[in-house]
Amino acid sequence: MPLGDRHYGTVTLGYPIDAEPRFQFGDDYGAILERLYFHAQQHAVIVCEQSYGFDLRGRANDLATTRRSFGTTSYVGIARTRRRLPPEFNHLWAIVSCGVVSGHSADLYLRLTVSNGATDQAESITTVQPSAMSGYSNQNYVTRQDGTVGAQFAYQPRAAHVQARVDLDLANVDPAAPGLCRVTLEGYAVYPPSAAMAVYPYRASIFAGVSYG
Amino acid sequence: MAKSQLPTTISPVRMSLGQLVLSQDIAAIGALLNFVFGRRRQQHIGLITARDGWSSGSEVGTLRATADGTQRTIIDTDIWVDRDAARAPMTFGAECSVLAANTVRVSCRLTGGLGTVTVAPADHANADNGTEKTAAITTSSVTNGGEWMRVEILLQRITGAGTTNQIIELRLEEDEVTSSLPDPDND
Repeated sequence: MPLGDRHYGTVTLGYPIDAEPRFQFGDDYGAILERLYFHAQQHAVIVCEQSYGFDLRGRANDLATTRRSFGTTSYVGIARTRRRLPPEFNHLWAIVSCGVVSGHSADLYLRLTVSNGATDQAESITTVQPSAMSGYSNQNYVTRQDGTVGAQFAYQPRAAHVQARVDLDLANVDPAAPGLCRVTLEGYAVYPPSAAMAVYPYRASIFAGVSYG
Repeated sequence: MAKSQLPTTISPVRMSLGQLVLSQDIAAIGALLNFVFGRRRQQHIGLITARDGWSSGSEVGTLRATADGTQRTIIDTDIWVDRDAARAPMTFGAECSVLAANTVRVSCRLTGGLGTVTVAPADHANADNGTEKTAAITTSSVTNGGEWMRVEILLQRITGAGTTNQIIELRLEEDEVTSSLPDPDND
């Protein structure tokens, strides 16, 4: 439905048709149309609902094997899926819940990409800071009583939970017929200035709908 | 009864006071409503199930379902199918990563009030890596809608002996209702 720039964020519900003789029906039908467009636009849908079965207390070697965490300074794939998007949708949202295991304050970078053809893509980036992280050491090692560093400690009690969102405007996707789109979510985390931070995603959700921004 | 659908827009201003509103305008509004109604499609499953190797860089492994010679259930869940959606087909799509000289079959089994149907896209081969293959599900053959349906996703290696053949992603999505919009329950 080529709705163009007509976006309906609110609508007057009620407003029954007046069945009075000689009543001018035009306004009522206009209201019906407005409700109709509201109906068309206000039904955001889930594109992807992903969990990772990750246990923050998992053993480090198991994490290394199953690759449910990552610690790099370049984008790492988190989720990818396909969905048919109606043309009246103009926005994608992705929300990622993850653990960031470190004592440092970090920036989490997320990127959402949509493609509905060979070349037509768009992307967006956001950063967030996991809260309440300062004051801890980021050392992932057991400290012995004599002060020397011991074996790597698998259970990481200083993990911070963070939920971050990234938005993507679909303006660069063919508005007439987005059709089957492939949506990819990627991310990574660093603590200043540029050190890789381990990120453990345990849930990612991607939604599509209409934004009025 | 087939109900017409109108894939266009009419400005509400067109209906402002004093404008000439004709009977065909009202019919157009009805067709527009049908068009919108038919396009509120749900995506029942949108998952990435990959082990690893699905992204151009590095990636997070997820369900890590790999195929062996036995057909195995990797997902068993329920979905809600509305009455209108039951009149339209669904699309089941899967993308796999398959080793050379291997083929893999991904099946989707739906069980509703009217019975069970199992569909599978054509077997995935190594040459299909990176491509989604789809199969259509005739929803109306298994449900009248308005009920929970069981969905099972099944995975099996058909040829070859590789142990790391895997599903990368899968989706189960309702198609548009482009004809035969359903009547209400008491119609």
